[in-house]
Amino acid sequence: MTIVYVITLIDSERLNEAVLEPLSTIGSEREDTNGQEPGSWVRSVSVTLSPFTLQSEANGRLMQGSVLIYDGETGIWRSCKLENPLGRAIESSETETILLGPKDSFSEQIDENMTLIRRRLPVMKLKAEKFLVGTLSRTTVVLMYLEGITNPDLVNVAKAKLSKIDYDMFLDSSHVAAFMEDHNASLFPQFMQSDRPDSCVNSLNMGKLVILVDNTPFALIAPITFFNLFQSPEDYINRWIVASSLRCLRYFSYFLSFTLIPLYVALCTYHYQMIPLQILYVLLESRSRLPLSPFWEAMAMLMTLEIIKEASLRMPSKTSQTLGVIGGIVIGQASVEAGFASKVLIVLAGISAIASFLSPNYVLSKSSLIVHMTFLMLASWLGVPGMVLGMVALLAHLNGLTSLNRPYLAPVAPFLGKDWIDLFIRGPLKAMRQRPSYLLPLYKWRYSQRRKPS
Amino acid sequence: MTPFSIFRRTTDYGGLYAMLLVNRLQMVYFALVIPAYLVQPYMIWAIFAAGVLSQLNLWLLSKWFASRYPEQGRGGFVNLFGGTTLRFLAAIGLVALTVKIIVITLGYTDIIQQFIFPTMNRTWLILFPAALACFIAMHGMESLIRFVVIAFLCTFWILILFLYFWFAGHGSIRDLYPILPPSWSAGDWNSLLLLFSSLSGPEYLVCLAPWLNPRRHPLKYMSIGNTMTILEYLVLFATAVIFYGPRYLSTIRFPVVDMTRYFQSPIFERIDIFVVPIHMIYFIYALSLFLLLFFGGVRIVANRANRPPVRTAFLVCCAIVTAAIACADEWSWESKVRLNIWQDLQIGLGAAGYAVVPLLLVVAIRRKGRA
Repeated sequence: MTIVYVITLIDSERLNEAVLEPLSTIGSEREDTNGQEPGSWVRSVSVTLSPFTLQSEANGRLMQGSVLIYDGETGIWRSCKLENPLGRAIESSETETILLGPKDSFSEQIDENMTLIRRRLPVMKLKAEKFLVGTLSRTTVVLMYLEGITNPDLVNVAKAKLSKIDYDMFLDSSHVAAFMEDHNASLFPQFMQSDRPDSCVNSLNMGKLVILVDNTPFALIAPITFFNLFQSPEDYINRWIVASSLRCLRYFSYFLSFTLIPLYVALCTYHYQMIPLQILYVLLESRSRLPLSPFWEAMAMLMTLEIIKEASLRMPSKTSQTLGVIGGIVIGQASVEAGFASKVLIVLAGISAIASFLSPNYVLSKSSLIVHMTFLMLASWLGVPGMVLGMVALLAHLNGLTSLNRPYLAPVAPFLGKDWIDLFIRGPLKAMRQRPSYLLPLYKWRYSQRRKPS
Repeated sequence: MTPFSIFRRTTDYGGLYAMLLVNRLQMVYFALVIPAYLVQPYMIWAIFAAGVLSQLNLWLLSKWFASRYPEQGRGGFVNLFGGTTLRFLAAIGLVALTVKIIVITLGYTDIIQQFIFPTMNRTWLILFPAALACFIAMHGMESLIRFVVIAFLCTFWILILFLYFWFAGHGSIRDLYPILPPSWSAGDWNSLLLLFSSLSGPEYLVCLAPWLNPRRHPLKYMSIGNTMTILEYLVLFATAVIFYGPRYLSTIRFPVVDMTRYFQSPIFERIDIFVVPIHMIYFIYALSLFLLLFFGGVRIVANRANRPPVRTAFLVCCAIVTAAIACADEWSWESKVRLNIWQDLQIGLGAAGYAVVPLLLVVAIRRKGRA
């Protein structure tokens, strides 16, 4: 009997317990049981063995943490999966933190992630289809959806896109998303990444698809709309009025994060007459010693701010706190005293930076830098009309986007009035009786339509 | 050259979109200048009369929408008129469309120049909106029809701001008298024509018929859109009359925009600098729609409608239209009150187009039915 395995890929303890010890016991008993039929040892090992014949199959299984066993008597190769259970424990999410609500999050183990979803959705309708992507990485991708609720067209489109993927390496779910998105050249994500099982289950329940990718804790959710990027899991935990006001605050903050500094530039460059006299005095006093035009002043501050933000992400957490102090106080104070920036701009830059952090979606908040720069240039070129033109262009771009062929600006454009209950406001759960209509779910009602016996 | 799916159709858009399109197309540009032409308070009845005439046209249009021809797209027109006649009609339509594009673009350019950038080169003020409209149009007809919701939501609330003048005590309610005309002059007939022309725009919906699907209640949705427009016209006109009084009103070129200068806010002194560009949202929307229609018209005239559209050809069309606007601005546009030949031409063409197109379609359907 020959046993083949890669020591770093398998769980050697389980190999001993489940395969080697039973086999050695058979070996010692064999002298007494001469009449045993060939291959009967299979019954004594405590793992499932599956036979195979091809060399390529052997290579694949070996590299995925299987142990290959060759029985010389029967000439049959068998394999059992004993992969090394390397991986971290289930921890709380660091990217989508909430105060109340479930604390568990996905890990790098796709099976564990599927278990976390299945525990919350213990129904037979929850389907999971497996795909292999990456010619070198051989990454397992699992497409999950609720049969009878999710529109089959969405499932078919996703399956077709997953089947067509032809690339060598997939290290993160965002790599898979890059091959499935309808508009690659856009700044805005058309698949949402989440490491929260509760968010994924909620999305499945709405009629969306969840795509799990092996070796990454971030699942993909699609189709999404632009407005989904502003929804936090905590919205559905807070009281609905509070949740609605917080959601509106997020929309407003996102808008503020890329318009506040451009508005300052537009006002200082072209529209002084718009500023009330008292504020104008403050502004003039603050800008009187500055050598730079409002545009270059804002550009310099914005770049400094982005450098500090990026550096604080890359540095160890303890150092990044120091960096925050240096960036926020020292550079801010110093640049005013040195005459590079006005006090007003420092305040606006601070508000703008904090406002950008309110967006629950990290990809969206990162993309706002480019939007911010574009608005800054438009404001310096055409003032407030330039900003309005920029806003129209931005809305037109968002309006042209789709996520798995569903419109990105739904339910605003196309206008779907019933879905507005979970758009700018988060309506009471009792009132949310239907699934979002832009997803065209097969079963739209969220409650049992059978009358309860009185 | 790469084909691109500018006229792709994957889904139908219902009556709501027809309603918003009717409303926003009727509000483009002339709605901002019309009080200066109507002046007298009794012209409120002219607004009602023009609204009724417009409603009659919408009724004729609804007959067309209820027929089997709209869903066939260009094929429906070919069935009705024949290929050669259709090309001839498309050529006439292109001329009318070009005049409309020139008038609304240069009209808005005048507004921007007068209220926001008095010293800026007008070419930039033409080029930026035209480029943006081209960008929006390149997303395709479906995306553009969806975009009308955004254009509406971004702009309809401006009307509410004007209610401020009713309660701010700036004007006198007595300026709304006499409500009955003491006499009726030739100028009043011209004003009625201007009103009817300014309500034109819904006739372009016949070109969007393959994407719009208001077959169930076409008249209902278009009527709501028309009624909304009439209400907006009434509010704007009545507010202008109350605020300025008829004598002063006749001397102002853009009374509606001028009124926004008097809005007061604790944060900003000049609200008009925000409001004027926001007015541009539906102008840019209309411009992008007209650019797509222009491109479609050129394809019909050039007998290229059966071939897939090409991006370069569309960009060339946009460049031609922008060049036409710039040329008209350079050589023949007069930025003065009532001395503008282009504006007069548009008043005539707009009114004629709005009167003729629905009638022509209904007559053609009847003739075809008999045959």
